[in-house]
Amino acid sequence: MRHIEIAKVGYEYAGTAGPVTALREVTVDVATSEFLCLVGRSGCGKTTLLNLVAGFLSPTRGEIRISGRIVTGHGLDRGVVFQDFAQLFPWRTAQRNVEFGLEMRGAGAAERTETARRFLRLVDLERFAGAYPHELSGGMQQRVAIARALAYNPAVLLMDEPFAALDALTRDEMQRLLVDVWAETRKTVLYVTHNVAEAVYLADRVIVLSPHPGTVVADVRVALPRPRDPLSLAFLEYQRTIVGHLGGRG
Amino acid sequence: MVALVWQTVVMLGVMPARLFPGVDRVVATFGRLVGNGVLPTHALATLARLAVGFALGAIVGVTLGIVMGRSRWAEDVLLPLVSVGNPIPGLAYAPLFVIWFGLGNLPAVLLVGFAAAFPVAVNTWTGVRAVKPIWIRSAIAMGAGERQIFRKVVLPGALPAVMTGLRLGLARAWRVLVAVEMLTSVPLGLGWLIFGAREFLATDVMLAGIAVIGLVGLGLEKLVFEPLERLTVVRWGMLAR
Ligand SMILES: Nc1ncnc2c1ncn2[C@@H]1O[C@H](COP(=O)(O)OP(=O)(O)O)[C@@H](O)[C@H]1O
Ligand SMILES: [Mg+2]
Repeated sequence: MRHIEIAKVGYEYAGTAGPVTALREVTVDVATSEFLCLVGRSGCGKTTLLNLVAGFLSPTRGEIRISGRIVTGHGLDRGVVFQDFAQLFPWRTAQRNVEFGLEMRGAGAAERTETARRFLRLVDLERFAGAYPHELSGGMQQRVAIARALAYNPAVLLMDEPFAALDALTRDEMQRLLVDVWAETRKTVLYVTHNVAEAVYLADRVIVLSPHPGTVVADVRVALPRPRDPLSLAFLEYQRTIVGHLGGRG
Repeated sequence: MVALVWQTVVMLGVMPARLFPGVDRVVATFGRLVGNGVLPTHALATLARLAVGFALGAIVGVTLGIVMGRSRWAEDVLLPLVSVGNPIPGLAYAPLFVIWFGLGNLPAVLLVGFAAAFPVAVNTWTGVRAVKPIWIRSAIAMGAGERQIFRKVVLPGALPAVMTGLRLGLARAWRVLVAVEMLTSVPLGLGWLIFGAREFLATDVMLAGIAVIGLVGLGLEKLVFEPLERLTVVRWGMLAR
């Protein structure tokens, strides 16, 4: 079933030195519960596309539908995780951060506490429920952000390079955890990254964008069983294919 | 250390003992004035004025700061006024306030509020403007509306700067109050006590009064602001320390 339909979408920024076309004729469908990675070099419009799906921007051309309805703004059917660790509210504990969306939805205190606990457990941070963000490492903060985006039960999870600022070891750990979380929650995930290995590790399908303006140049289905072994030949073969589509060095 | 130097100067007899009492005399006077309730009475009168005036200034300052931070139009109109007014010592307005509001409590309290409002407004404005866009984005993504964003993101996000403003405002309020008490002939108060003691060359009383002013200032900092900050911005890691 098609969950997210991005149809011939174009986006133009006003820009101080004249209009900048960030995206042109982008068409992508994402199936329900699919894990889709958007890969491309820096500046090719990945963030723009994610912000369009999130409803922070509206397309200058084409349209985006979620579950058949045209996206006109943000909605509780989507959860968003950004790259910036600062996305958490520093004045709230991990627990209270995760409760935020439920609070906005008007959930009662008991339900909020219970649900937030459950999602903190999902990202393996139950012990840190009472900690403030500045007391947590970057990886832990991003896990709180994931729990927070999932807690109000959106059908779609949008992630913009959430692990790009982490060290390599923590990033590997986080990728494994994300695959587990996804397997358990069965969300439709749209995940932006410039890291090819990360995309091959995570995705059911990898969409490759080329820059200036951003357009889709390849759509690669990763037919590897999970958990994936990044050192296997098949894995490396996928990486090679995608790097090829990116045009050389990756 | 200070007491030692002081006492040496007194013993050398550089100044007549009547105008420059020894530490022992000041301490004794302090004890006597506390014992007979004179110092506490005056101190309480001053603190009451401070509380009312500062509360007024804080409310006005925070409101102005928020309005300036939220509305382009208000910022254009008010910010120049506030920016020009901020560095002017509050005491400069004292004669004006006396002419407008007469003598006594009213001009003193109003001037305290007036002086305190400036740093509070400027810092609140800075704080509101410094609220990170990513917090607002996250809140929007989680379904927050305008009012929820204001209450649950902008206000706590601006709090560190608001606290700084309140602390500066209180310091200013305290300074201007003690001085303005000398000018507006309030019936009771530390400023008045010191000013009145001049008539009798009661330097020991003056120094005892000054000691109370210092102690109160320190007390406000240690007993009001530090605990408040420990509970909020320090705990949140939002204060560079
Ligand atoms: N606010 C903006 N104003 C003008 N141009 C922008 C703005 N944001 C992004 N762009 C341009 O749009 C293009 C795509 O940006 P972005 O979506 O952030 O790329 P990515 O996330 O892939 O690095 C870039 O060329 C960038 O310079
Ligand atoms: Mg980006």
